[in-house]
Amino acid sequence: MKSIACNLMGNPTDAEDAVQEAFLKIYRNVKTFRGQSSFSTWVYRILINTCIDMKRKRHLHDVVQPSPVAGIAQPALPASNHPLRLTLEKLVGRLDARLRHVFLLFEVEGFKHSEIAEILEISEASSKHALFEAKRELRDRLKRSRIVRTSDEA
Amino acid sequence: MEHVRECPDCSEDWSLWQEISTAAPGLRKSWESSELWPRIEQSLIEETRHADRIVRGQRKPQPIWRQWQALAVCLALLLVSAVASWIVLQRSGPAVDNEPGLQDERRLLTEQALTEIEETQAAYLRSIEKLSTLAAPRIDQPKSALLGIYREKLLLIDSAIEELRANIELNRFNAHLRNELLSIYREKQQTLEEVVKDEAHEN
Repeated sequence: MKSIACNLMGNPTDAEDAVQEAFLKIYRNVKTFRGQSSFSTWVYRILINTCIDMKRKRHLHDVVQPSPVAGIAQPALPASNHPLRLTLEKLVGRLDARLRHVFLLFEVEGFKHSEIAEILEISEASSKHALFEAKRELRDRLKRSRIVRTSDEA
Repeated sequence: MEHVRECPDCSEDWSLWQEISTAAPGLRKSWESSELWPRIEQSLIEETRHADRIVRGQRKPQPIWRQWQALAVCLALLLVSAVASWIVLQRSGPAVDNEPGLQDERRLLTEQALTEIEETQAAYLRSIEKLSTLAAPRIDQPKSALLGIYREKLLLIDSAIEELRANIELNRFNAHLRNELLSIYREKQQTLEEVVKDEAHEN
């Protein structure tokens, strides 16, 4: 939960706030859970909606993103593929929200398309299509960034 | 796949496609956040308390106008019952009083009680008179300190009797004054008996 919140919110502090808020929403609304979807997908749906709401509110109120607070460790960076990971992270952040959500849930968090469909309340086909679109966009942007880098080095 | 191997553009595209999928799990973030769960726990506790307060708040304080409404209803009920009682008394009361037999009976009962009290008083007075005759020589000229005390006590009792009689003259039917007078007579009778008994012992 923290991971997806961090990818959606952009930093660990906001991610933890979002997770906390999501837990409160789950507590308040647990009576409304009717078992039509699995509990975990319901929880992730709440988390993603919470992140979206929080980002929207912060955007509306023009709040400056707080810098990571002391005591909250920064996400661990994988040792391999570091430059590509950073570039990818940046590019994923620029994706359209729908494509970004599907990409993060499928490629990063490892959800199946059926689960993503439940979480985002879309069809499986839409989820597959959104993933394809996201990857194509990322590939094109990576390609462009590599061309630019190569020309800069030359 | 054959084309992908041979075409440099498609090969690059394919390679990038694969790289994205390989690198993506690296975006998964994990970090230690020991304070997160206590924070969540605390906020859940506060949420529960808040919900309890709301539930209690819904039960407890009533709006002021509702309290006044209840008070007004009570007052109205009280007034209605008072008026009803008054009407009942007005209807039944005078009828009873107007019956000449009952009125006479009431008056007779009062006068009868008064007569009985006066008879008791008279009996006490007769007894006191006899005892006074017996005790008079010792009381008038007390030979001991004890008799002197008895004399003082009897003088006090006599003054109290005088005072009560004067009050009773003003209000003949006052039962309290009558009882007071009877108890003082009783006291005087006992005191005189003690004086007479002392004399008998001495002899």
